[in-house]
Amino acid sequence: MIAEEKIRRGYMVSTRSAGDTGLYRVSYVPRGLQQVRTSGRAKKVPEYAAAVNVPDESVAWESQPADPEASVEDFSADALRRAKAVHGWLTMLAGLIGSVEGWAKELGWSPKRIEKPMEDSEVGRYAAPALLLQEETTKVLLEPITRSAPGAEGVVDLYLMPGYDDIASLYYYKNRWNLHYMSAEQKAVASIREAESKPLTKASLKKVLEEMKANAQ
Amino acid sequence: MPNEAFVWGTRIKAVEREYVVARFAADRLDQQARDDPAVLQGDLRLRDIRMLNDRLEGTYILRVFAEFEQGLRNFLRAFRIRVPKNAEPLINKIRDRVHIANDDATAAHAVRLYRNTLIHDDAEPAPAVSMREATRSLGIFMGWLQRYW
Repeated sequence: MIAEEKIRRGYMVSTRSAGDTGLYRVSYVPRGLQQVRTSGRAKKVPEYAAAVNVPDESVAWESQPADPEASVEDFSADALRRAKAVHGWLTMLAGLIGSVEGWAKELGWSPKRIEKPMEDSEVGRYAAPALLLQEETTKVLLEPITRSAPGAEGVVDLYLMPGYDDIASLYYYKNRWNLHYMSAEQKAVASIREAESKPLTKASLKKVLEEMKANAQ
Repeated sequence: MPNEAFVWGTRIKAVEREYVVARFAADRLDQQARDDPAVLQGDLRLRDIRMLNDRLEGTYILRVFAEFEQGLRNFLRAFRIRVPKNAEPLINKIRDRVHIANDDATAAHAVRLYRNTLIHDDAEPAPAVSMREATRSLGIFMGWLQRYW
């Protein structure tokens, strides 16, 4: 088994933003370790953590992993790969959330950022921003779904809340966010992915939000 | 514990998304097996695939309700309120504490009753609830908790 596979199977991994842009804390906790009880107190499961600086491509260990099947260099490469993947996706999301938040305010909606726990078999656990928009009694949620999908580098869904009704999806391709939306006047299609797509702009967002509001009333 | 209710709501929606994937896969398998029964390996029979297809939505109704129930239990625990053992008093207790609209509680009970029909032989047959309806009803009920949790 190659080291990367051993790490993926053997550890629960989480990647947390460490404040500054491009800095992450990647932690590894061995899976399935039995907690040994001594004098009634459970022994703490080891956690190996690294501070990863994505722009510098540097990895500094707070507590070094000790695994016979994977070296510290293997873990460092793994931590850097995960942090880079999360960083790319969070950067893409930050741009989207920032734009939608600004446009929504201009359109009279109240935005609220919410942190959503995510899990991804390639990078482990991390948190990503979601955005809740409210205008009178209509609530809409912009929820990050995945950082990769066939033909797209990221997917974010738009729901009418609180029933989580699927309204539109945003796919990142051609270096921009594209809005796939089944509008009232459009011919019915089997899935939102097949619906007519438009680049995400303030105007296309406005159209979707106005139709959502009309449907919700 | 900020946004706990929101997190549980997204977990409920995630089960619905898993169901959509499973439905897609099961439909594809069914079609492929009908077109070419040789794709079936080992002891697999066409009727096994039909059975999977027939029961798939029910299986995911159980999953989504289990997720919902766990979220409600965690809500009560977070506020150190005694947690009822069964789902019916659990929903009612939260409905009363949070002042949830009766229609929204009734819709959550409709999912519970259908779940009972699926797993208990002696349960009164309840009207079927689709996965979309279940997610909507449970998401709306969970949405009431966002003000507090």
